[in-house]
Amino acid sequence: MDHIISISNLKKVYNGETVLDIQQLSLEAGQSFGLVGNNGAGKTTLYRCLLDLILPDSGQVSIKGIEVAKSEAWKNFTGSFIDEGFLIDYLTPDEYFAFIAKLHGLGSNELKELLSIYEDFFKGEILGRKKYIRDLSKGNQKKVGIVGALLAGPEILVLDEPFANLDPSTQYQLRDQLKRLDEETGMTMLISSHDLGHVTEFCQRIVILDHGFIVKDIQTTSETLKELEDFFVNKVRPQSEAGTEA
Amino acid sequence: MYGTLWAHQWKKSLRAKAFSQGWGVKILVGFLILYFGGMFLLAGLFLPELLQKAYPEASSVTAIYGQFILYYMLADLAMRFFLQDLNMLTLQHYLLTPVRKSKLIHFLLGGSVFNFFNALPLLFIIPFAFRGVLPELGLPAMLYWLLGMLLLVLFDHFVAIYLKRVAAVKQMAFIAFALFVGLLFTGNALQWFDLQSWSGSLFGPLGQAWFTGVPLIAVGLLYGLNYRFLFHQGYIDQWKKHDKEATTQSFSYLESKGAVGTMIANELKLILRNKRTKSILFITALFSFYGLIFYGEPQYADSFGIFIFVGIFMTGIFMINYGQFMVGWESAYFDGILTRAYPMESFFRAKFWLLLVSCVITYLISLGYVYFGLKALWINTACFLYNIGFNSFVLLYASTYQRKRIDLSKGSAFNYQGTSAVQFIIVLPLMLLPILIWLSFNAFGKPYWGLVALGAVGLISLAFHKQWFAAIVQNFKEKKYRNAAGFREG
Repeated sequence: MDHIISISNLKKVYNGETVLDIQQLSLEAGQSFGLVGNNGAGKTTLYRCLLDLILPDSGQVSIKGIEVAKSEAWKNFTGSFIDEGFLIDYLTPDEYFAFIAKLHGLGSNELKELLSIYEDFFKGEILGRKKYIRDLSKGNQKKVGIVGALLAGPEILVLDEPFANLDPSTQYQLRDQLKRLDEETGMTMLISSHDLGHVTEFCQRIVILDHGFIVKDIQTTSETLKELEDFFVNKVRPQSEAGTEA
Repeated sequence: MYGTLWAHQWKKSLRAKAFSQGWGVKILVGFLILYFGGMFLLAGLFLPELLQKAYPEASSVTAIYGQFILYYMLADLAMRFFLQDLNMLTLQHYLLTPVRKSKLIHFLLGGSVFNFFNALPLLFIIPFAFRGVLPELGLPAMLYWLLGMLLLVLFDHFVAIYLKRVAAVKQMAFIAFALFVGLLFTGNALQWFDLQSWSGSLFGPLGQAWFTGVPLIAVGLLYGLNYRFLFHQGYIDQWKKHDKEATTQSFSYLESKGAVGTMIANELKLILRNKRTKSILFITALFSFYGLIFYGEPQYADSFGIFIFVGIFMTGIFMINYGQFMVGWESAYFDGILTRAYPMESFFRAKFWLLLVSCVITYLISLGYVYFGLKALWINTACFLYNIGFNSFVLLYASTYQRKRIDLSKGSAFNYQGTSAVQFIIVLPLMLLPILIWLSFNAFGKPYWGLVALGAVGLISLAFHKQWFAAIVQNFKEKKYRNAAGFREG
């Protein structure tokens, strides 16, 4: 199967206002895919349709040829983290990871091994610290969510703004980890971000969403960062002014 | 400045999430307020006659009233401690604005006086002052008496909010308070001392001008104490709970039982680690004494129907209280449930086991009522079977309609968050249907056959558990988008 995710004629309307309208979007297996756009561009709506959290008004999303609204098989190989609302906040991180491992049929030794990969990423602030997830800082909650999504070694990874709220060192760590996963595994990644630098660093393909429409679909090259920056600068400044300054 | 703060406070309560409830809940709350208000008013109006009747030889009802003030104040204090809301104005929002901290605290304390628990006693005290005290002591003394009583209400108010604030930081304060009140009532019951005569002599001079100064000074001192406490608490690092180590109960037996076991363990953790669910446990413990109101009372000795109601309630108290908001408890991470590889049937099977085990426990507790005769055993057993076999599935099915978000960190007293029409409708199959089943047999003079039928309905329904689960999962899948959207709205 070439296209691991395919979206067609996807449309969502809230109170008469179209918030998402995607004619056609297909993702190739193993590709890392960046999604950028200002607030209200429809990124979260797209993610929610993709993860079968909301029903689109028309169109459909298929993962590996299966429509997400029809079957739940995709949940077994899709890891996702959108926001803290996905975390069971009265558990400790250790308990939370153990629960996810159980859902995927992983043993406690496998779990220990998988978690050891992220020891550096956690900086000793997450594991074995008798603290509920709700009492962790926003940044640490995010780490728990991201690692929770990665834990079972999914084929598809869906992250919404994974870099927000993380301290600078952790952002670079996460970026490198995602880059490594992209190179070493066949994981298909969907990453949205407001940080244009990070997405251009490791995403092979970048799509700009604006008011619910796909306005740009770029294969990443060395020029991409500039192209993205120009797009977003031009949204707030007249064309000519941005041109002369650049 | 105070005007602006008032305006903010007003908006805060009007726009509170708990306030934006459906009309059904608003009507219910309104009815409760009217009911309690009316009861207090009537009691206050007719208290002089009631006291006269109870103490025919007494010469003054005011003096008799005085003997009960201490009881009232202790009971009031305990009630306030559990039910009164502290959260007047969030100090933190204003700390960075150029408003003096002392002003904020005065506003916080002064404003806290205007609440339901201070208004309610007025309905009782003022009518009594006019109808009981005025004829006996005359107008000037009655005014001093009234002023003294109002100050005593305020005294309770400031003691309660002080204790509550201290207890929020130091758990010991709560235990000490509970022990103190418990000791007073126990000592009184065992006649080590006589609270009534203490109260009589302590509040005897109420109505004399000089005595009004006593509660006045006490209220002033308490106000100062509250003020000092809040002033020193005005640094944000003190509001956070001191990094308390999380209690990590482990349910290793359950967790070794696969996904269903782990889900049950998770739900137990949910119950034990969150405020609102913990208070349900407290209510459950309290209601195991509910039957005492009816059992052992001669006027109910031959009745049956009332005990079926009591039996359903007692053997299912936790199940009904907790189960009516099932899935809603997990509203905060509902999106996580939908995207994880949860096998949906296991998800509901885990909940079923939890309800079942809770019923077994409450059933065993209810067996204590066999003390009042074997009838209790038959009734409670029939009700238990009906609860585990039928009511459990009704609650699970109803849970798929749950779409109101619940904040687990709020207490459950006077908390209607999460309540919708669902909770009112399920009362019919839960409580009314079993009584109707029993009545249809009782009509032919066969009350015990009615009990057998009740138990049989439970067992037959239990035998169809596969069909129940299939229907529940099917409905869950159909309703999940709507429910998820409701939970996200908050």
